[in-house]
Amino acid sequence: MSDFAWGVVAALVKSIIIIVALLTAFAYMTLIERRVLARFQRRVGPNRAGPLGLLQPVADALKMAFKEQFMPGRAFRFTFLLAPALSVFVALTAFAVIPLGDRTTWGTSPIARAWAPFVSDINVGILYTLAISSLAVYGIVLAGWSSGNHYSLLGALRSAAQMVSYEVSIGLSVAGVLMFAGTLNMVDIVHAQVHQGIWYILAQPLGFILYGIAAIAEVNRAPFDLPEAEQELVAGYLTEFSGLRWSLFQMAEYINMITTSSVLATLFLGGWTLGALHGILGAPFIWYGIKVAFFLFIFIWLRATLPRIRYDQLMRFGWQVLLPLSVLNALCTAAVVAFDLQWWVSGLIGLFIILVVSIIYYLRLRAHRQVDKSGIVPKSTGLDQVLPASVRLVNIDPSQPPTSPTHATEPAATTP
Amino acid sequence: MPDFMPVLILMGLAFAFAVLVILVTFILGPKHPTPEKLAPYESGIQEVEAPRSRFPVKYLTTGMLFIIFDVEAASLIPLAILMRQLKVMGLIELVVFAAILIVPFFYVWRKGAFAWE
Repeated sequence: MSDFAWGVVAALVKSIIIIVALLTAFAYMTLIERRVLARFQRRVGPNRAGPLGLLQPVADALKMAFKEQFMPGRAFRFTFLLAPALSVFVALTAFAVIPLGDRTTWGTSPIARAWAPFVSDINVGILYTLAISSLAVYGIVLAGWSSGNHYSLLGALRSAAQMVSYEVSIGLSVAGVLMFAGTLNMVDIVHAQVHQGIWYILAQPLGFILYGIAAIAEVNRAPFDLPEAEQELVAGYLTEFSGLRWSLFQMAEYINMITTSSVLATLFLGGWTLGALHGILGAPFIWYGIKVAFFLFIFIWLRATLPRIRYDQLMRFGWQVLLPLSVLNALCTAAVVAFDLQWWVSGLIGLFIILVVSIIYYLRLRAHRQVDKSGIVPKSTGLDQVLPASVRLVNIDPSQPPTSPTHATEPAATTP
Repeated sequence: MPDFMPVLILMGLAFAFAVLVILVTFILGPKHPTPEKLAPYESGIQEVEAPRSRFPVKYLTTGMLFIIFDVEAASLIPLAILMRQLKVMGLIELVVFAAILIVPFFYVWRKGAFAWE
């Protein structure tokens, strides 16, 4: 067979392995998340199906497959079906350039190179991942638009605005790493870290935090899961979906989490490497797995710990805090690289900026805190100054004595 | 472009998987549509206004701002890769480029483009 044919065979086998692995990881991620969240809340979690609940994902999948899959009468049929398919397609495709190990060293022929542990070694690797994962917004917007439902449409619009807002910060915070690495290729970025003897989290602490926050917002996870805010939008764009079509959206969300964790591990934690220990056969997969699992645990931890933030806060945070900080990070890193300074200069600058921002936030939090330690609400901060008009349910005039709000919130009586 | 061939194959398989699942949803599961079930979910109350009506223009403004600043980020990436070779010249270019975009950034900030009320 020709080299090209061997390349096709290798790519087919690796793609199937990647897809099956991602789907399995998704299934068990749902179980792990439920178990870990339960532990956070001092519950046990699902432990009945199989030993330790290990068959729970199978039970869930079967249940989902045999649910009634209905489509609202007013839905656009084609787009309604396209949306979940597009979501999961984008999620699976974005993983193509993530390196799970080094290029093969046991031969230089094209056949040997084709079996390296990643689907493709394209030279624009990180750009490809960013581009493909930002396509995820299409699935969500189409789902919300085609459902023919107010909640879905609002959830989809919110999601779109949120994703594009944080997308900018992602692109800019990656720039710092690229300046140090001097390449877009994912494998070469890891090689650059080995060559310079550091993980880029040390040289780019600010970039790491910015990328992390923006990535959580990008995959719509808590505390940025506004699009599916159960309390105000029912389930956002998911409202009208049921059964396997709903599962496809969940699948896309979890696979996006895994991809994001992999990118974080590759860019900032040296990917599959750990000192000199990645030379052992099979070890790269273990280091890579540990790093990704660490980030996935942080995703769950954040969901268990932080309350969902309000929409106006979310947008303000993305544009007014994350974006200027990532520009600042890019400029500082550029100065360090341009003047050929040591990597720890960049690290110290990053830590200094983090410290300053934290102090500012702490001081502002103290100033805005409504109730001080004595329990007295200060008169100067009325509810009007804290909540914008779009979030308030009732208008409260601080100068008037409080009246019972029950009549104010009651909707006008309508006859059907 | 031999490097992109595996990506296309993965795309093809992912597409096939997605289409397969969507087709399966037509076969499995009961089908008992009723008018109530087919009505859009509205928290149990009668629908007042048709959906897909006009939505706040704010979202559109955000989208336009995104295009401006994301193009900035995209044009920054080639500069970032070559920063080691360009040295101080690259830094000057970056500062000029950033300054051109920081001025409109503060302009739209003052105009209230980032405030959601």
